[in-house]
Amino acid sequence: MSTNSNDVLTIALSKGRILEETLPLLEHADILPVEDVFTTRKLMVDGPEGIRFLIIRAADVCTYVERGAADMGIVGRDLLLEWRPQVFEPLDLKIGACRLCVAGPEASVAQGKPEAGSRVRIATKYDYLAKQYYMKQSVQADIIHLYGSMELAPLVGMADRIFDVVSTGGTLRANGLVEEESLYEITSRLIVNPVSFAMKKGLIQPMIEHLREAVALRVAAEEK
Amino acid sequence: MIEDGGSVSDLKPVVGLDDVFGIRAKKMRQLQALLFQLFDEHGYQEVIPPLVERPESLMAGAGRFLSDQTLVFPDPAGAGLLAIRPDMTPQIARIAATRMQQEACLKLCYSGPVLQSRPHGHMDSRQQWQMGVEALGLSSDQADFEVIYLAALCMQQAGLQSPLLQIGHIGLLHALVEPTHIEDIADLLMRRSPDDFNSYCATHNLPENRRILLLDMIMGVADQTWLRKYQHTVNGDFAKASGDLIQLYDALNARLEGSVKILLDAALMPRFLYHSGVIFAGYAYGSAEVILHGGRYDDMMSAHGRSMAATGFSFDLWRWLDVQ
Repeated sequence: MSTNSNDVLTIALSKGRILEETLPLLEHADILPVEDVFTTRKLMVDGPEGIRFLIIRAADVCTYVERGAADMGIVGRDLLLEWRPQVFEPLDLKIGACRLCVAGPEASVAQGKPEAGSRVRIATKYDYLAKQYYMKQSVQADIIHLYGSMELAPLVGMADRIFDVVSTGGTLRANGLVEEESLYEITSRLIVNPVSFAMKKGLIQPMIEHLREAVALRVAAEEK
Repeated sequence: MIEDGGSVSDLKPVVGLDDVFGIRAKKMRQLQALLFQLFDEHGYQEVIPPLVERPESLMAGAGRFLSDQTLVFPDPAGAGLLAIRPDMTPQIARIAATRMQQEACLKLCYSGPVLQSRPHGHMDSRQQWQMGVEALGLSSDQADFEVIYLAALCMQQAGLQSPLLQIGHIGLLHALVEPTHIEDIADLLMRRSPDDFNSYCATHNLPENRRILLLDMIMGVADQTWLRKYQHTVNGDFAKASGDLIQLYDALNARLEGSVKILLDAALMPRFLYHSGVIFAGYAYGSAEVILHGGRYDDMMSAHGRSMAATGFSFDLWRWLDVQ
């Protein structure tokens, strides 16, 4: 049984850059953590009464929410596409914008996409999405799972392409790589465990609406 | 410290298939006995279908919603293929349509393992122990009420904390969406993503009034008040499905008096898209997943060659044990 009780709402937040962009949205919804989440070493931090936050790695947010250890969470769309958790995705927070791309060495990309029937080596942490993509292209993909710094793999001749998220493209350029195709626009989303949504609807639904307002205000301010 | 040495067999268990023994086996049998007694008191007779079936029997009326969960293999004793059941309901439909034709009304219950070739979630087991009831040939409104009421009694009998039953009606989706869009929209309703729905609408032409209603459903605001407001604004099918669902909601609340909470959600989607009417799902404190699924499946009966009303529910006893 999960220790996530019925009258407490648990929200899983991704560590790192996303967290910086998340806090102003939480502030608008009046649900800020009571401690400085960037300096505390606690992994579970209280919020206003009845709310607590888990500060965890982005890749773990889906797991906590799918298993009901957290009722809600904030996670990149890339991880939702890759892991396909059984969760609700009620709100695009429009933060952490980047795109999921295929990229490769400039000379190789200039020769065009791999031909149908060919075999390519792909460095990625998105094994499922990369496999699906190349299956559709009728190309046999040899997936090389890496945990980071994908850009290195083509430089040392270990991979022909990388399949990864790109935000500014600075790291690609610095390593002589260019985008071959941009596949998905990625932003962070609010996710909710479907059982929590049914059991704690009275707590969760208003919070989603407050966050929706906060996103709309932020987008409007940026457009000015 | 773990001592090295001693040989362990290379014959490992299969991934996703647990063995059950000790306290878990004992508790499972106790819960099963309790629920069989309850089913018996309500006039349900047990049926014990075989573990394997012809694939056509398992898929009749269920179509590909079940086929990608079905493990199929050649029959060593004869020509043709056999399949391991991924769900018990199609077998009950077959039995009702073939061996029990002389009876106009059937109240059947069952308990047994099923195997799904691919687990739903990343953490799910491939094997479930489905226990449930099917009510066939009974007037549909009355049967919907009785079956959901029995599901509520099961949840109480099993000692679940804060039990909640969510009810919906698949006819609402069918009334709002053309058949070609059903699966896409059902997927969006399962993920409740308004943003993805808006992107979908940008490339697919949905009538404006229906788009607005679907968006409300996806946003999670389609409760009994919403349904009463929009009941007569779409078409006859929508009005009929809404009317049935609201009536059911009121009747269940009147009978259960809050002992099991009833939540009407027009956006509730079934586990498999073979349902054709009222659908429902059970939840309880301590479980991160739905612990009980049910609904009407008249169309599956027609596909088995016997046109009759049919509804029922089942739950996975392993999952129930985990929330005891």
